[in-house]
Parts: sequence; structure tokens; C-alpha cells
Amino acid sequence: MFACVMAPTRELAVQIAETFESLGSTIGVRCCVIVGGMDMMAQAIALSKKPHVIVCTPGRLQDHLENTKGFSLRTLKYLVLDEADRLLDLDFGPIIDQILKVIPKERNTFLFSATMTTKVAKLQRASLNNPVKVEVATKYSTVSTLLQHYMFFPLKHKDSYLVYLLNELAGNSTIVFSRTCNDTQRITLLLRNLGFPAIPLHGQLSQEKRLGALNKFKAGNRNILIATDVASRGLDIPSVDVVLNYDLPNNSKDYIHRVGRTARAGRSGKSITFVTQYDVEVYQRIEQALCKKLEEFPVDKDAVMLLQERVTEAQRFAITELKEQHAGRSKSGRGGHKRLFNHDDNDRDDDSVQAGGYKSKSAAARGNKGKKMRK
Amino acid sequence: MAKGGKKSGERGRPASSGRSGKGSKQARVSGRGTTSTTSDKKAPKKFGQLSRKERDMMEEYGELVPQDFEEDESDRIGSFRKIVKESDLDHQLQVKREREVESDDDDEEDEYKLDRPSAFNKLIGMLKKDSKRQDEWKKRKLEEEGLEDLEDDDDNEEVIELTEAEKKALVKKYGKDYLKALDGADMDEAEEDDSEGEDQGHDSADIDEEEGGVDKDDLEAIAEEQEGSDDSDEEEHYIKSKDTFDRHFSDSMTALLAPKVAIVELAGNKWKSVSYEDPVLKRVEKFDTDNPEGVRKEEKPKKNRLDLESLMVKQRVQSNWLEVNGSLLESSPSSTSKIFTPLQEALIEPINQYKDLLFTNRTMQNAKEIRNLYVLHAINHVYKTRDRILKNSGKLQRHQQNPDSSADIPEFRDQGFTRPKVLVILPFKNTVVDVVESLIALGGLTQYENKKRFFDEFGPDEEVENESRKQDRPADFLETFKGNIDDHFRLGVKFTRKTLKLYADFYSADLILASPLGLKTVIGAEGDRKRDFDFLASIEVVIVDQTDDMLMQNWDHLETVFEYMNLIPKNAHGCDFSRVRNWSLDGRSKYVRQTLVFSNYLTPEINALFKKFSKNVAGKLKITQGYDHGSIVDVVPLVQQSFNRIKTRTLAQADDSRFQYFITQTLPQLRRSALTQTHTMIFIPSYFDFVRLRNYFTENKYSFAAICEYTSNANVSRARSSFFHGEVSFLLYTERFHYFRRYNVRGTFHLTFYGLPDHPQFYPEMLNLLALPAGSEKSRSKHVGATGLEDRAMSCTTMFTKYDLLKLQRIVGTDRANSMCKQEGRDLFVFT
Repeated sequence: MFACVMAPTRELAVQIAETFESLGSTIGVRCCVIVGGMDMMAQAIALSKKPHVIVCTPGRLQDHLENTKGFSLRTLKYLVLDEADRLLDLDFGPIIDQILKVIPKERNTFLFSATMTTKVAKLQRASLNNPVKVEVATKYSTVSTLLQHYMFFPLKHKDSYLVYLLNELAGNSTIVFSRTCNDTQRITLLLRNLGFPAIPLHGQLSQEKRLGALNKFKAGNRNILIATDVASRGLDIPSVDVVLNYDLPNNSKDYIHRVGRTARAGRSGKSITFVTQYDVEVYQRIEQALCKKLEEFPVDKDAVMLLQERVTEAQRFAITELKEQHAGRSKSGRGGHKRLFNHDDNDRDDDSVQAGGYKSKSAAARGNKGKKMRK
Repeated sequence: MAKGGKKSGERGRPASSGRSGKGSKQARVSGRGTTSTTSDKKAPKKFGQLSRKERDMMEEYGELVPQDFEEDESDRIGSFRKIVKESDLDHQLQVKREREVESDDDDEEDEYKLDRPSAFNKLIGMLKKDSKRQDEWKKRKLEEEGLEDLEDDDDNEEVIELTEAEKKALVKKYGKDYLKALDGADMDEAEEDDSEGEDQGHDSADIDEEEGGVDKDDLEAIAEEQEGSDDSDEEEHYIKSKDTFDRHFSDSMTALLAPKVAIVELAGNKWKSVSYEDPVLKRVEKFDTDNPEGVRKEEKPKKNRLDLESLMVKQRVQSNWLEVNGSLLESSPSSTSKIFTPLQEALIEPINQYKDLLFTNRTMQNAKEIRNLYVLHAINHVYKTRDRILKNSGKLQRHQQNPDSSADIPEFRDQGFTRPKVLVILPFKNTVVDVVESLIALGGLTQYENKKRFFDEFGPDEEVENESRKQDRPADFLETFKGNIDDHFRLGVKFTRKTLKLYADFYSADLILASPLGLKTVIGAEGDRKRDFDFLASIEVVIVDQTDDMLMQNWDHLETVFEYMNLIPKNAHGCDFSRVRNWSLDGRSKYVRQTLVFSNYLTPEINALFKKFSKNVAGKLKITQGYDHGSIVDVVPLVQQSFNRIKTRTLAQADDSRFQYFITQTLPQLRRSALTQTHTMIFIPSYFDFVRLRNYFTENKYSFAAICEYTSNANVSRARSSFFHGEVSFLLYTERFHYFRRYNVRGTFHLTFYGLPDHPQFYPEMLNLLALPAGSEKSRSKHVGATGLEDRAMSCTTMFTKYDLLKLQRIVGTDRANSMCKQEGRDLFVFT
């Protein structure tokens, strides 16, 4: 075992592993992906075949370190934390700490992120040796080929504006970021009702569905991806034209990552952020962090209002359908219900950031872990 | 832009200003650490000015830069970046060639090169370790050296140590600049050499000697590599070891497995076999992966006296063998060996070589010889695996306790996913008792757990035993059905150093004794909520005894068991993945598993089982026999027996053609004649055919009674009595019913075999019914007019198709059966 690469989300881990495989195939690098939501046994077998590179999410890796006999990271030479600031956050923190305890001290550690934290306490977690910091720019920045806009309107017209925009931007491949899993599901149903080829991606889907959704979007079978912050970091989908922030991100960092899904590798892209009367303060903080004022996206308000009626109808359908799904899931027995809340392993995905404050989150993470141990 | 880290670690970062900007940058960026960073070696001269800390850091971050500098110094190429010119390469090649000439060895081993392995090279080397190249190399070496005996492992190690010491001396003597010229050699070549070198282990030591100068760093690298090759040597030692257990089950088999699996899988059914006659085994058909073309090799005149020592039987077992087998030896004084009966002597070799075996010449008489033999093999296998695991665990523990060597903990891959490794499948509890008794006798253990419970549960059922009326049954029936005939059991047997534990949990058991039904109930069916078959994941030896009796049970269960064997388990069950053999991880255990099948006779079902599930790369043996006269010679009454061959094109159609033939030809004939329309028994081997005929008889309202294995006792007696008294004219009777009961059905005058029985002895048994007195004296006097023996006409008709060849061979003899099946233009064969 040469290297271990950690990423905050499963999708990102899979993407990294794909890259390893395509680059390493000529020298026969063996790589294995250790993420939650997949079969432990198959992963244990893959690990025991001594892969050169392990790409993982922290929670599942810790699980294997605890439960898979005969697996250790004693021989590790390189540790890479992708999206390091996220991984060193409080909600991954305890797990990372435990993992680092069993990795040899004599190793090279690499931290990567577009928005690297400067907090010493966080970086201490990584227990670096003689660290060197390489920065492209001192402040958080977005690329010049990205056109950033905002739209300001009352909250109750949010859906109408979304539909209007998607209609205007039809033919572009678009990622819509929303705050919660539930919202994601609702918007997807609403858009599908209106005939948009939308596909959801959030932490409450099974891992197969998550990867399936991403692949469909990548392949262009669906060109609207409705996602939570699971998809905000690291994912490299070359052909994304537009990023819509349906809900504002919690902080400016997340904003940087979200809009970074488009305008990749010298391409051009567009991002539009929805701002309602309640979001003004947060929005201004983001502008401050970016050190730049965004332009307002030109809208024909009358045209939006024309859509109102159809959208309200679709909203109603979507909500009924959503309720049915929930009913169906809880009816399918305790297991199904449990899965709804518990299926995210310790490698809590980014979407959970949105669920509440930091404190409650880490508490939830601990709770989760407790359950696992009891099992 | 490199920026000094603001938060330096606990050590404090040395001032980078002391060095040239380029140097520091490269030192950081080139973090391709090599594995030799731990070595505490001197930094090259150029860095003499640097502080000690800086040097340490340099080492930690890899040696790429120092190496570059060194090269500059020695080669004086003059530029920082090395530009490779054609002429340089040519020159280097020439230098290398000269060196090769110097060292007298003309093997390709010369190519072993002592260039400094970069991180990349090492990675490549690591990859090569499991790449195909090495597989091929190993295979080649194996082929070359064949069966030659190797010197002991210890000797090898000694050699290595010696040469290492020598090398160190040599390094002292010569400078380290000697091999500098080679540093810039072609990358590809270097890779190749690297891997070659690794493979060839200590041979390279000689070359070192001759070449003399070795860089100190290089030496370290070599030492490391040689340590690596030490391990592989040990593995190789396993491969070539005299002990077939090591040869067959060591982890290094992984590499050799692929080509053999290809032979087994691709050539699949086209395996050509070698057939020959053996005085003891009779007809042997041998399939071999080493010899897939089926070329008949001259058997080397071995016979160098088999003994337990040369068979690598564990010491503990050896001492008990004579005790267990002694009584059998006495009964066969003709035996040349002092330890085995002739049959055992012939069978032990393929069994001990972990070849698959289908033995269809089991009889009541040799049953015990065979049982002793496979118990010996099973216990030997369990002990060997167990001892190896314990030995390796000990080694690992020593390594862990010893902090010096903690950097390089050896890897032992010596087990499967789960602990059970031997599975013995038996049809009834009665033979389990025999097997366990042999296990206890052979095992040489002192404590036994649950012994009493075992004998209570598996011992003879008293009620059954008291039935003395069964004593008039044939001997084979009494043998099969003696004692406890429960067919639903499973038993885990666990061996530890001193104890043998019966009723061990499957996951902590070494050996499992079970019936097909017992296993099937644990395995469950698709969709069952609770099912478990992970314990079958790492079975290495399967022994199926009394297979013919299982045919009379539910054959499907046995196939299910084989289907679920050697799969990758669903749960870990606490298995240590770092010890699982690579071929197990690859899901290839089924190609290593040994399957031993013992049966009284061969049937298409057993054949199919053996073909489908026996994929052992060690090859397989099928042992059959020819029948001179068949069981037909045992027929007592003088009856004309006619055999009708039914024409059928395919196996699928055979059942339908048989039925058609029966209702259009045989049955009308039976009914037409005044004689045969009563007291006619129709013997049906298969239950499905039985149901078909019963339905047909019911539809046509023929007067008949039916007895099959599912008929209740009351109905059986009713049917028998009404048949005896002639109240019904036909009796439908199944083979399986006869197998379980062996009733003498009185009142049978005419017999029709709808199909031939699998059990050859049933044919004469049924025919001999015709000769029975038609009842007790009392009933005779009653029915004297109707059923007098004297005036009774008897007849026997048999229907067969060419697909019944195996059955027919057993009944009429091999030669006659062959001609009966093949002969053109004649469908009726009459024996009197």
C-alpha cells in the first residue's frame, strides 16, 4: 500500500479512483475505492489484495480499520486529503483523528483545496511534517471565464423564476444546487412534471442511484442535475454550462466550490444565484469574500408571472408525489425508515452541512458512530 | 511559487535560505520517497556543506536530487538536466556488454544490475512481482526442474547470508563508483533487470562477487530485494516441495493457477484423457492439466514402496494408522505393503496428490478400506493446514514483539475465508459413527468434547434395531440400513492441539460431516430470509461417500451443496484478510478444491456431477470397471427374459418414446394375452414415470394397484394383498420403494421393467420373485387352483434405450450391453 487518498464525498472518491486508473494503467497501478453504501465484503477483499492506492471516504475507511481483520495502513507512504478544508472540518474531524493515529508518522501528507483553511487548529489535525504551502492566489477567487450573476425576487416566486430560467437556458447542461435533500427531490418532481429532464442527486439516495444519476448527467442523457452540496466539491463534469444556486450556500467557500463546477479548464460558464428578501445578508457576505459585485441577470418579469399558474399546479403535484414516496418508504417497514435517516455512513456528505449548525452535526456524527459500534 | 510553511512542525524547519532556491524547491517537490529512506547513509559529497538536518531532510524527501548531483559529478555531462544522446546510450550498452563478458556466466541472469532503484523502479518491481512475467518465469523454472528434489530451505538461507557478508567485504574493498556508468541505462532495461533480479534471488550473489564494486546504497537495495526473494524462495520451496499439500495449496499457486484454469475451463469437456487398465483399480481414466492432449506417457517404474513417511503423513497420525487399518491388513494377506491394502495402495497416491477422484467400484467389502483411507487423508489435511497456520501465527507474533523487524513483517497467506476445510458428505447417520470413530482413533488426541452426545444422537436407534423381521433381507440392505438411518444431520468437528470437539460451530470447525439434506436446510433456497452458506467458502477437500445412496435420496440437494461451495462469502465471519490466500480472494478456490466421490456404481447423474463440479487443476481420475457377466447370472427361475430396445433420437425424447412404446406395444400385448393380464408387476425406476403411468392407468380404468416410496404402510399392505389375491391385475412398483423396503412381493407371475434399475442386484431380486412360492401353505391351499406354482407361466419383459447403457452393462455385462445398444436392425434380445 503506497498511498491513501481521502475525499469528503463518495462521488468524488469514485472520480479520483477513475483518474488513478486511467493514468496508472500503463504501469499497472492497482487502486481500490472504499466508500460507504457499498458492500463491505467486496471492499475487504479488494483491500487484502494489497492495492497500491486506496481512495476512500473517511467513515468507511475507519469502519474497515476497525472491523476488517488483517487490514492496516502501517506501510502507507503518502496521504492525500482532497478538499482538505472540508475533511478537517469538525464533522469529519474525530474520524480523521482516529485514522491518523494508525498511519505511520513518517509519511508525506498532501492537502488540496480550492479554499484552504488558514485555521491552525484545523491544520494541526493533519499533523504535518515541515509543511509547505503552495497558493495560486491569496484570496478565494473564481476564474475569469465564469460569468456570475444574481437574481433578486420575492421568495414565493422562486420556483417560477427557476422554471423561467431553465426554459430560457434550455439546451444547456445545468446543475441546480439546493439546500436539502427534500428540496432536491421536490424540485426534481416539479421540473419533471413540467417536462424538464431533471435528475436528483443527494445523500438520501442509494449509492447505486447516486452514481447512476451522476453518470446519466455526465453522459448527457439528462441535462439538468438537481443536487445538494454533495455535488458541490471536486466533481469534474467537463460540459456543465450553467450553475444555478437555487438556495444560497451557507458560506462563501461553498459558493466558490459550487460555481467551480462550471467554467472548468479554460471553458466558459455561467452562474446565477437566487437571492430572496431573506438572503440579502448572506449574499452580501459572499460578495465581500469575492471582492466583487455581481451583475443582475436580466429578466422579463411579466414572462415569469405568466408561468405562475402552471408552476403552482406542478408544485402541488410534486408535493403530493413526495408525500406518497415518503409514505411508501415508511410503509416498507422499519428497515426502510431507518435507511432514510441512517443510511449515510460516517462519511457524512456535504449536504448535511446544510442541515443545521456545526454542533448538532458533530453530535449526529457521533450518534451515528455509536450505532455502528453497537452493531 | 514555493512558500515557506508558516506553521512548522514540532521539529522546526531548517532555514531554506542556506541552500540554493532550486535545490530547496526540488527537494520539496520531488517527494517521490523511496523505500530506502530509513537507511542512514552518507549524503554525497556535494552536500557536504549542508547541515546535518538538511541532509536528513534531503533523505526523507527522496534521493532524486542527490542522485542528479552525483551524476553530474561523476559523468561530468555538464548540464543539470540530463540529455540522453544516442552515442551515450551506445557507449553505455557497450560498457555493459563488456562487463557481461567479464563475468563468465553466460546466463541471462547476468543482466541483474545494481543500478540504484528509484521510487519508480521499485514500484515497477513491486508490480512485476505479481505480473504475468513472473508467473511465466516461475512456470518455466518449474518445468525445467521438474520433480527434482530441492535442498532444504535452511541451506538456501545459509547461502544467502554468506554471500551478503562477502558482498559487504567487497564493497569495502572497491569504491562505489564502479557501476556509475550504468546509471543512465535505458529505463526499460532497468525495469526488466530489476524484476529479473528479484526473481533470481541468490544466483545474483555470484555475479556480485565477480563484479566486485557495489555501491553501498545499492547493496541495501539488494539486501532488501533479497529479503523479498527470500520470501518468494520460501514460496517456491512450497511449490517444488515434496509435500503435495504445499504444492497444491500454497499461496504461490495463485500465479500458476491461471494457465491451468484456462485448460480446465476452456478445454473444459474436451480434456483428453489417458485410459488404462490397472489390476487393482480396474478401468482408470486419467485427466491431467499438465498433459491436456492426453498423450500416454510411459509410467515410470515407481513402486519404491509407499510408506507414510514418504507420503508426508503427519507424525501424530502415522502412529495410529496401523491400529486402525490393522484388521483390514490381516484380512487381505496378499497385500505386498505392510501398511496398506492393495486397493488403498493404489488409491492413496492420487488422493495424496490432491487429484479429484471418482471411484465407482465401491462394494460392501471394500467400504471400510476406503473409509479409513479418506479419513486418513482428511485428518492429515486438517493437521497440515492447522500446523502451518499456527507456525505462521507464531512467526508473526515474534515479528510484532520484536520492534527491530517491525518494518518488514512477512506476509503469510495460508488460509481461506472460513475455517472449515474438509467436507464429508454421507447419506446416513450410521456411517458417520464409523467415520468419527476412525477420526478419534487416528487423531491421537487426548480429550473429546460432546462424545457422549454424539453417540446418543448418532448411535443405533433401539426401536429400529429390535425389528428382527428385517433379517431376511439381502446383505447390502442390512449394511446400508443398519443402526441409525436418519438422513438429516450436520456436524462440525474442531481439532485443537489436544482436543477433538464434536458439535463445533461451523465457523470454528475444521471438518464438517453432513448429509445433503442437512446442508440444504442450512443453505436454504433463494429468497429465504435466513440462509447461510459462507461456511462452504473455503472447503478444500470434499469427500462424498455412498453416492449411490444419495441418488435414492434427493439428488438435487447434493448439487445445491456443490453449487454453493467455494463462493466468496457474504460476511467476513472474523476472517483475517491478510492471511487469506490470493487464489481464494480471486474466487478461484473451486479450481483447487479436491473432490473425492465414492460410489457403488456409475450413473449419468454422478458422471454429470463429476464433470460439472470437479475443476481441480491437479487433474482427475475416473475409476470404473467392466462387468463380465452382469447380475443377470444371479437369476434363479428359468424365465425367458426379453429385452426390447426402444428407438429414440435424443435423451430429451427418451422418456416420451418409452412411454409411447409402453402404451402402444407392451401394455396391449400384456392385456391381450389371457396369461399376462393378471399378476403382472410393472417395475418403474423413476417416480416421474410412475406418476405418468399411474395417471394413464387411472384414466383408462385398468385394474391396478400402485406402490411407491410415498405410499403409506396401510396402503402398501392393501395393495400387496389385493395383488397377491389377484384382485387387481397390475402392480406399479418403484425402484426407490424397493430400495427402502426390499419387500418380497408375492404373487408376481409376470414382470415388466419399464426401465432398468440402477442397482444391478435389483434385477435378479425382482426376477427371483417369480420363483417364490405363491404364498404360505395356508393361503396356498385356499387358492390352490388359481395360483399353483406348477401350472404357472412366467415372463419378463424389459424396455431399454441406448441411454441406459450404464445400467444395462451392470445387468447383462459390458460386452453384451455394448452390442445390444449398438447393434443395427435388431431391437429384441432374449435371454433364457
